[in-house]
Amino acid sequence: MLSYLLRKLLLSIPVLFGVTVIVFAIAHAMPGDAVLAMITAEAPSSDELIAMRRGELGLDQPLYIQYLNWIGQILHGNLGRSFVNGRGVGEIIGERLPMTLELMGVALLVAFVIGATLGVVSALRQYKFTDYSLTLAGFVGVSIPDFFMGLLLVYVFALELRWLPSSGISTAGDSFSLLDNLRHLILPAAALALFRAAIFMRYARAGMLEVLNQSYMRTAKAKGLRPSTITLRHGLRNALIPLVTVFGLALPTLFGGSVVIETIFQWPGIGLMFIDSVVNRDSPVIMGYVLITAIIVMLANLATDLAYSVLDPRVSYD
Amino acid sequence: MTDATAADVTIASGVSRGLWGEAARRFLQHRLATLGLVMLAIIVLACVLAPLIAHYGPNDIDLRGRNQPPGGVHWLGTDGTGRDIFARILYGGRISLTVGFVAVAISAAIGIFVGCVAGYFGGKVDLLLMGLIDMVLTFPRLVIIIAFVAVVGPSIFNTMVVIGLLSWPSIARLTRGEILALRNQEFVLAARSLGTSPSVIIFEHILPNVLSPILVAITLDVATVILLEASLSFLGLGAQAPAASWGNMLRNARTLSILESQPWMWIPPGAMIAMAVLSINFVGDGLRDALDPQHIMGGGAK
Amino acid sequence: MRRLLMSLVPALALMFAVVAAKAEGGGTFRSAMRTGCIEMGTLHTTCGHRLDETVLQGLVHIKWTGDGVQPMLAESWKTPDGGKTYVFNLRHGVKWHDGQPFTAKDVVFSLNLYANPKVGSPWSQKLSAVAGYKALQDGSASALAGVKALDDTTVQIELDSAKPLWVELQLIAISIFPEHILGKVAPGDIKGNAFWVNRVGTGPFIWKKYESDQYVEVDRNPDYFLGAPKLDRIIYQIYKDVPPIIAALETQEVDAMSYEGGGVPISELARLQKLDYLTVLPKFSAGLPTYLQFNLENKRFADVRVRQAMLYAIDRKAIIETVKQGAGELLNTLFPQDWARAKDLEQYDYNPDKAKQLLADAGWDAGQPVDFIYYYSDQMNVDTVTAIQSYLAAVGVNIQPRLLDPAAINQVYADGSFQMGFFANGVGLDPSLGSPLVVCGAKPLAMGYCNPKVDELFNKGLESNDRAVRAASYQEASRILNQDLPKAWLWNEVRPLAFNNRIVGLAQHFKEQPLVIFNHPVYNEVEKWEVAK
Repeated sequence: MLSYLLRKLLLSIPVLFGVTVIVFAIAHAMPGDAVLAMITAEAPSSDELIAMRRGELGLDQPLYIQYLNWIGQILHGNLGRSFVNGRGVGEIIGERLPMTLELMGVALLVAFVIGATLGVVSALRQYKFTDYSLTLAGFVGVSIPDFFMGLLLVYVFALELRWLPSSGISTAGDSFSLLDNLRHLILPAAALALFRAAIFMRYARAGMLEVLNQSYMRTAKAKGLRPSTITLRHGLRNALIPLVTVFGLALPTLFGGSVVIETIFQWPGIGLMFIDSVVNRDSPVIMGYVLITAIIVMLANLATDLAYSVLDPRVSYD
Repeated sequence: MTDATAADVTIASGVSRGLWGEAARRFLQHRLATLGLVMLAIIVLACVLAPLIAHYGPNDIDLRGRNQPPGGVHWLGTDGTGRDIFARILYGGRISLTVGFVAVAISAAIGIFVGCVAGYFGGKVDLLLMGLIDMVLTFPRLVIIIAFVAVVGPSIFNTMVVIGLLSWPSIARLTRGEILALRNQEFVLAARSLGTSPSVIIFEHILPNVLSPILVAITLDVATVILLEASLSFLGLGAQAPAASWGNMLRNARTLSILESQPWMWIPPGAMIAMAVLSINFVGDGLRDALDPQHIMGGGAK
Repeated sequence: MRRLLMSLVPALALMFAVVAAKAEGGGTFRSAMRTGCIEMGTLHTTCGHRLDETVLQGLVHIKWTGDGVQPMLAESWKTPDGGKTYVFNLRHGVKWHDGQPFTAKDVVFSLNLYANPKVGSPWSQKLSAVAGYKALQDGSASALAGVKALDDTTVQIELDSAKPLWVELQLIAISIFPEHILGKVAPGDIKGNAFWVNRVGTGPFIWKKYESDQYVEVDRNPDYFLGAPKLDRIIYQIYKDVPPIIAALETQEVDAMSYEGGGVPISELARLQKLDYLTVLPKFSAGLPTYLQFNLENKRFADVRVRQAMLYAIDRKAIIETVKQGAGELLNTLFPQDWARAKDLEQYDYNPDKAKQLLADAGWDAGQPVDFIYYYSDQMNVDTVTAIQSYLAAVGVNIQPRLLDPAAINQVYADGSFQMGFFANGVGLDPSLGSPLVVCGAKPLAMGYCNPKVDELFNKGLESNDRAVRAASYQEASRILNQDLPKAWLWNEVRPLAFNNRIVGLAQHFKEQPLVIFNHPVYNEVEKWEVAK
């Protein structure tokens, strides 16, 4: 077990190295650099000024030198500085990551609770009306893009009903209150969660059906145990184990989804920062973002593996 | 297949034809799958035959006849420059579906190839390729595509290629797993002892036997990619104006007054995305049940 | 599980309930602001610049009405030699927000900061007329020779030659910074310095708090030299995108969609006009000539008949009436200012037959597509490009539009890898500001156009401050630009603004303003606004 983990960790080093090369290549292949992005028609600039500013940012050095500089910095725990505002990339991401994790975490939790509950209910009512309607709802759920869900939610709950704020993370200028923050969280989290709840539901239903069809369940039934006891005591745990994998798989798509949702809701997390940095050609920030998300995804996959082995004694590692 | 011998290999194709026939029968019994197939066929056909069905070109503007609600002349109304929504839905469907199918074709080709090579040869090759797969899998796909599109510029062609180039790892992983399970089977060992070349063994002997789960995964991927294109177009990084795609037509809904009072501009593309994705998921689900009766998974995972 | 759900219900109910009970305590004005590049600082960006009007201040400000300037930190000024030397008398007793006294040294410091090549501000050219500017640029001097503090409250600025309109055109958008803070920062570290997210100024509001991508809060300065503001605070709410601003305006989460919010998209105008708590100013001239850009280094567009044909091919009136819903004034030359335009300009009325004829005469190759770039991505502008494309296609000009973001646009401009484009540039304040679009060698906007006569007229236009004299030069230039069509002039952009009636003074002020101008102060007199009872 421990050696498996260690091997996985060791393997992730070359993978991470590859990640840095790709990230660097993309960030530097972008047309237009940070200097050009900062010039606007309103602020005309001379060629000399542009050349000077490029020099300041190190953009005039050969690519491999720029890459080595960047890697060297990373190994010292330094993700570099934003071309746009000169702040440390690690610092910026550190500030914003919690907000994205709050959004993603709540969305994932809600998706899990709703999905697992409905999935189990659906399985227990297999081939009944409830099952059919839930399955159909699940299919529809995965057919609606999350950004569109976001627009509809804003329209209904913020503009028409005026129940919830239309954007932001809290009321600007007010001192932080959890309640206020949660009110702002509901719509973006729901937009992210509904799509994923549908996926969780399918897996939960399938897992539960598998369990229900297993011999020990039939035995329990034969012994005259009441269905609810059976399901809760024996079934649920085994049925939900496959969801752990889905949790791990959901993470990269959640990062992608949060980019779109943060843009729609002006949620000041790393997704919004990423879109801005792409527009501004702020390559240190772009690279930092992709690197951090890749590391988070890797760690999450590792945790998923681990959780799986703890939860499911049938899985063994050589 | 556990007791397969070299002789079995020669009749493998005959056996599989029988299996495919059986699968087709099971598929057609699956009501949702049949419905999905019919829906998908209608959508694809309508898009392919767009010039025959639509009375207007997708880019014919009519400034004096803009923002018209659905009616006899323009069945689904017109948009902000007076273009016929119905025509744009059909022509837009060509783009959205093409992106879906082509991107998945690219990723399937790469994925199956990489998966086969990794699974069949094993050892260092496998380790290397699995590292590559892990690497690509750690990137949030949409994020990398956004960065890529900023590099190569937004266009349908670029979108398809970039999605294709980034989406193969899951198929590769699946293929590898399936191949791994078969590569030490006797019929493979027998073929190898006869000096058959690896490419023949992989593509003629092994692959046909593991194709069904891969086919299911590929089908479901098409649905995912259609949604992905919609997200990209929504961010302005997909199909470029004036070309229509369902995703960029849906972008209209960002304007609140259109969202509220001109629903004919966004309901049709929204409905088409949902219907296409839905029918593809139905088909994928049906395929899974038909090709792999033991499997009772719900399907549609991302 | 069930218990958890049950406990969630009252919490949810509470959350919904809070909305109804929400009421503003004192006087908070919430203004929408786009993008979040405040961190870069005033010297390196335009987008956070307007914050300076509430926190930092300049020597002078342009008046609301756009005609002339009003004294701010400079109480008065005079020029004894007709515009070569200016002497500014500063206000007495003004203090920085941290209590330090404001003096002439701060002014000298600030002007040098703008001009210092080590700071690398794109605005440094505003000071290019100051004596010693060139020496500072090439390193032979360490400060602007022409800027001197005569005493604690008097500053003298000497120019290379007489520029009677220098204060009106160049000095108005220059902010004065505290030397006791920024003087300690190395010039190369000014950009992105912590000062920009914690600005110390002399203005009516004191910088309180900045949350990246969320908001900037500024609080009332009771000691403001023009009188204490009535509002308690202003919160600039930061948005990346326009749709959330419209939603927030509707739900009254923000009070103003003014220029720094990007203006109200035309497509949302009708919707906002229905709301009785908003004042919508539907036709606010943006002083923004909009045009089709030609890359004149490309031989395809060298023949003036080709450029004229493009203009004849497009039914601009129809586009303005329909897609733009009236939000645009037909323009046949560069200048949006009435007085700078000749009356006898060619009108280029829609005439596709004439367009085809001109193209045929010029030997236009219809088979080759035209690479066409644009960067306004809102629905109205995308629709406009669509319409233009359709009109041009009808006469055999097959443009292929590409939507680019600002960085890519600048790159494409720099390397000249485009053929045509759809652009607008702000020249609302004064016709002279249009020169970067058309004078010889002006990079990147002139794109290869060069007519020495035009250059001469632009120079002549700045030699006097008498509008009647200046008009002659600009009208002559307008005629040439109307005939030469270095760009296919389309219309003068009009942008609607919207304000919540809750803030008294705000909408009224904008009603008095003739046009919105880039880099134009919009918050002077903010100290007089208040929240309605």
